[in-house]
Amino acid sequence: QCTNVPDVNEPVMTASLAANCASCHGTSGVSAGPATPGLGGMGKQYLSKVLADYQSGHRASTVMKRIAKGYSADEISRLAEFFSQQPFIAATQNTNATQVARGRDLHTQYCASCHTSGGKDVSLTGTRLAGQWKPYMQHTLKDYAAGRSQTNAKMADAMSLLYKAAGDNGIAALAEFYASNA
Amino acid sequence: VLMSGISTRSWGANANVVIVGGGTGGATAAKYLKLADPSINITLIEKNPSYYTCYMSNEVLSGERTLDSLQFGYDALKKRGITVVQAEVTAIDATARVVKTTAGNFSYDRCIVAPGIDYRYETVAGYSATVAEQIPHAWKAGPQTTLLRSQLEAMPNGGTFVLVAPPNPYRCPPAPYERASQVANYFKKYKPNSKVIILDPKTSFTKQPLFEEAWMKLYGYGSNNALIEWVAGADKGVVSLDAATKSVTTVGGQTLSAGVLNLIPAQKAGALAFTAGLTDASGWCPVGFASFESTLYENIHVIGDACIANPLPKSGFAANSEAKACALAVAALLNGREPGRTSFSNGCYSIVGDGYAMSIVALYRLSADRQIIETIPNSGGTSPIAASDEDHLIDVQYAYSWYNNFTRDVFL
Ligand SMILES: Cc1cc2nc3c(=O)[nH]c(=O)nc-3n(C[C@H](O)[C@H](O)[C@H](O)COP(=O)(O)OP(=O)(O)OC[C@H]3O[C@@H](n4cnc5c(N)ncnc54)[C@H](O)[C@@H]3O)c2cc1C
Ligand code: HEC
Ligand code: HEC
Repeated sequence: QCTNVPDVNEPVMTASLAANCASCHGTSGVSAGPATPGLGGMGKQYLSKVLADYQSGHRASTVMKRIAKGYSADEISRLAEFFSQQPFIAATQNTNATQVARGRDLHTQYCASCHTSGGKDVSLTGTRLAGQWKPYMQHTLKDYAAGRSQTNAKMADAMSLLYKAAGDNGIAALAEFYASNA
Repeated sequence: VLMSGISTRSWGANANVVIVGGGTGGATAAKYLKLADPSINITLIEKNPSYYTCYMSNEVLSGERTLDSLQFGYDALKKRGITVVQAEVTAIDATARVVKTTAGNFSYDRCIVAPGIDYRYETVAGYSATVAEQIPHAWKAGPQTTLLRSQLEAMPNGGTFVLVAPPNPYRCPPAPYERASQVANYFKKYKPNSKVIILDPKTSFTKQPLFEEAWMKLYGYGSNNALIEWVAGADKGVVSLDAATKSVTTVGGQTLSAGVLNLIPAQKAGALAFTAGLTDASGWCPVGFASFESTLYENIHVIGDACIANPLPKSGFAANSEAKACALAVAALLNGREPGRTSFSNGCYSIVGDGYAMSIVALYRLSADRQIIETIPNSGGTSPIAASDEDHLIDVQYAYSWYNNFTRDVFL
């Protein structure tokens, strides 16, 4: 039976929270690009951490800090759960074979121990790199390389070694490799 | 006493929902209602065979895009099992629960109305729907957008583009200023002796510091040979228009002639909202926020630009957000449940020059007592002043991503 008195402690529905992310990330978090990342198929913990890192500024962003700050820890956890259950659909993008090959080498050397299966497997990190939109990947990698985004010590080490060895071109090559979804 | 409008009958499966207007709000409502409860029969009634998005239409004016690239049809919604009828809605009988159209009558259990906006031509002597076919406002994307573009193309180098900004409240607060920027960008490249003058009855506008920062960087704003000049004040409101000389006269008695004139008139809810008796003295539609049900008629919900949803602005982003909340609420009501608490957001990217865009976002939720839409504290806001060139550059990519994802979210 319904009553006239609304429950003031009732949380905002997850479906309603998530529907608002779709306006930028695409329905169910499947992004048509050319830049905004898709959200589906990532680990729940990873998504929660990212949103918390946006809130605190540990992770650089253009808009996500302003957005993430609008959600409680409970809402973030429900959003993370929701998107972790949506499919990841790899973005189809044009890539340059030479750069892809170079990116593959760098990936194998610096990143493959955690981002397994060419960045397709989310099991160790919760994040999916392969098939993500290239401009986003390039931008987020630069943020790590420049220290604007913070991450766990080991990944930070890997990033700084990579950047010392290969510079901006190395980042571009990595983004190209992930874009090839190979 | 009403229980948030739950009717005494519980409809459950196979309830009929008629949605009026297949624009941003209506199309989103149709899709998200189907997603929320596939058993509901949904009929979407739209007078045009396809829709041209206003968003990104300023890029048609600068020549960056064609009007065709803004066109969306209804086949994908049909594939979802939504009945799409091309017809004009002429009346709504709220007692009999029937929507009357040029293609017959449609009964509903609940009706969602999203007719967009109409213009208060009467506030400017000499302006009318007919004159607007010659002096386009282009505030709905379509033939007027193409006409305005061709007038800009025909204008000689050294001409003046006068953009008359509308008074509040109006569709898409940043759009006049984005338009001015886009046209200035076109002039900068192809007609550098020309100028954009914004004639504005308002003394401030949204994202103003960001626009002005960009105009200074890109268009010499504030200098002697600025490509954009903003002429603002209550005395700058336009009271009359002379179509033959393309000139306007302000409250203050100043007369300004234009090479190309773009007069964006004051606005009100779409005509059908008036016919159906859904408007109040303000010319917009009052609603309760738990389900966007009209406070004037039961079982009719109003979303998008036509409704009063303060603090949400009249934008496509907001219309889409309201539509999703309304769809969840209507699905609940038709299943005999009290609607849950909803959230809302608004966001807007403005592309103001080559490789230069900026954003604003705002987050809202239904208040705990279900009475108002409240802004979520400490969230939202604009891109920072003095953001890096790189951030402005990638914001263009994010703006196009928004367009691609958003239009798919609405129409696909
Ligand atoms: C230049 C410009 C730029 C903009 N840029 C942005 C932007 O970047 N981001 C953003 O979020 N918003 C933007 N907007 C605003 C956005 O376009 C509107 O806020 C949005 O379209 C409102 O949606 P709506 O559903 O209320 O109305 P609309 O989208 O206008 O839909 C109304 C629909 O109802 C139909 N209709 C009306 N009456 C009847 C009837 N009697 N019978 C049948 N059908 C009927 C109409 O044909 C129309 O398809 C911009 C607007 C302009 C003018
Ligand atoms: C106005 C547009 C917009 C909205 C709304 C939006 N996002 Fe984002 N999101 C972005 C952009 C752009 C990025 C890239 C980072 C940046 O610059 O902010 C991003 C990045 C992300 C990432 C990082 C993805 C990765 O692979 O690490 C996550 C997670 C995310 N958003 C989740 C969300 C969630 C959850 C919501 C809704 C609560 C949301 N976003 C709403 C635009 C948006
Ligand atoms: C020691 C493990 C480890 C190594 C090595 C590592 N990463 Fe990561 N990476 C992680 C983890 C764990 C995360 C999850 C987020 C976090 O902890 O910040 C992550 C997150 C990311 C993200 C965030 C995804 C997004 O969408 O923003 C990117 C990009 C990334 N890694 C790229 C790389 C690249 C490129 C390399 C090699 C130069 C690399 N990583 C090396 C563990 C690692």
